[in-house]
Amino acid sequence: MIRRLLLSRQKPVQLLISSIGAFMGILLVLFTLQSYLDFREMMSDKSDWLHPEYLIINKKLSILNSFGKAEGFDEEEIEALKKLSGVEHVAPFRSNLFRASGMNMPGGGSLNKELYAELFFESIPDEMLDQEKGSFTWKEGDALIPILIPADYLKLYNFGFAPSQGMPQVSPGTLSSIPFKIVMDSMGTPIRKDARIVSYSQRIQSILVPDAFLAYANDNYTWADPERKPSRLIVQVKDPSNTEVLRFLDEHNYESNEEQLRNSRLSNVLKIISSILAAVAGLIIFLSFLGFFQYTQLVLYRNQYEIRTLLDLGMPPARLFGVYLKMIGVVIVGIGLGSLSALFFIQRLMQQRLEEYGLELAAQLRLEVLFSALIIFVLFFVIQGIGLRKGIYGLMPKG
Amino acid sequence: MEIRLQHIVPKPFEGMVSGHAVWGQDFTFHPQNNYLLTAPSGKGKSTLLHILHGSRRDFAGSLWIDERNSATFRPAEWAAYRSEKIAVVFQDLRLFPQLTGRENLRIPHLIHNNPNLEEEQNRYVAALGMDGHLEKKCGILSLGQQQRIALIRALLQDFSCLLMDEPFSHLDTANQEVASELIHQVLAQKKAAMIVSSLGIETPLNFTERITL
Repeated sequence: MIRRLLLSRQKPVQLLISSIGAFMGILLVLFTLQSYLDFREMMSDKSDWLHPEYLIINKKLSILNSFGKAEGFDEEEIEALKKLSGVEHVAPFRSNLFRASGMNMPGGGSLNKELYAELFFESIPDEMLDQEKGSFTWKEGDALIPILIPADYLKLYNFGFAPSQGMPQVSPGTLSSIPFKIVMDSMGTPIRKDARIVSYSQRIQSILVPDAFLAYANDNYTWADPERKPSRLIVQVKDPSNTEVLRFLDEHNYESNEEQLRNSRLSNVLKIISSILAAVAGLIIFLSFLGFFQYTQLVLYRNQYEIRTLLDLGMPPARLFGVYLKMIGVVIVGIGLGSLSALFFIQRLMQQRLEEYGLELAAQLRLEVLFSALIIFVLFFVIQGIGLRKGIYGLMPKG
Repeated sequence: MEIRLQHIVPKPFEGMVSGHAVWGQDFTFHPQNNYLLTAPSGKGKSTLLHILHGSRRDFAGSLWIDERNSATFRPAEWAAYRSEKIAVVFQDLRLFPQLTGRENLRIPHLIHNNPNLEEEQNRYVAALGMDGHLEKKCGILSLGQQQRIALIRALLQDFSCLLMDEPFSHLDTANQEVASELIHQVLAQKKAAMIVSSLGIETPLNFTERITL
């Protein structure tokens, strides 16, 4: 009855509007945070192993050189690139200087057919790889060679090769679990090594092995010209959309990974949009908190006769405070569950939509988002609690 | 319970208390005494009762309750004082018009969490002839009926001192007599004091001391 009395002059519509305001504010903040973290992960290239500030450069092919020997970069050209402002590091792609082929091992996973392919390998210096290279390492004596392949190769297999050959489609995880053998021709002597695909790259269109392994193998199994010029370079730049670098590439008839440049620009645009969205979300959550705070103050103001009278009759203020706090708590829990459910729904929707475009997005909410939500709800509750307590104790007589 | 007013001057009476019986004086309300405060309107009868109740604290001087300065009371102590030591019938009654008479009378039960009040409540309700009106919302009861509900509500709680601000202003003589009898019964039962304000109109209540403000 006390609760009914203390809430007797409330207008449910106002509670609904204030709750919707708080719900929208919290949802927008959490959505912005979730999207920012998803986006940052997408653009951080953890899945690609390479940072977006790396360019991969090769010389354009023409009729003159396409049937001749592959044209590589000489020392002068590499030095010229290094001197450009904004270029931090230049490294050649190392290629295998021996014949190599790969085959699957009998009974290896879901591929029950025997596969065989001539292979090539490339490697880049370790420092050009993402620090989180995980199992993509090799040292002399290691039995297993880790391999990084382009994600497009898997798509090509799954959507081109497998259906045409009546073979099963495989997920990245499944393929990674399939062991296979690499056979290297060491000047007429076949050398067999176990290998496993450890990750996939969206951007490096090559079969990468650890640099240490390729250096070792080139030294030991070489049949080709050891002085061969590198056909591709990996260049670390401060900003891939740097016009000086782009002009230089154009003037020298070099090609770079254009997609990376677009991504870099897109990344910058998205960063700006995220920042603006975060600022707007911050403002909205502030306003929604303020709106809800004013609503609770209005609740007290409307029921101040009841509160004052109950205080006059000896009701402890802490008990009145408890009634209002419980009500606000229930509303905040409702808003919390509602906003998290809505966020989860939006995330699932976005995941499905982005999947259609080949972008991977986690279906579940991030821990950081849930933790932030908890902080927001606690903060929300504490602020409302402080306002309520101040309002109720403020109705007690003053000297 | 002893209540002592030590040189209390309410803010609205600053500079106009010369020769006043209570304001600016050292005055004590003793336990189990019945006081009648009489004065024309505007002399501070209600103000005094509100100060004694603790619902007004805008005064100079000190209010001592059982030898403790009320200025040191914390909010919870004020609540305990009002629910256990002092009961009040306000001039404006302070009922909840949206609640029925019965619901209004449940407030002391809820404050005290004491279900044993039911028997006493029925006795007071019957004595004051309010049996047939308890299910009506207080907002639609007559002022006389509301005054009786407010009186019963005050009598139902624990107290050592009963404050009543013109409690019979809407009661006829017959009802005043019944109410007075009930009040004296309860005072005797609780061994409590009573402080009543009046414009000067005689009531059937018995007083040990009359104070003209």
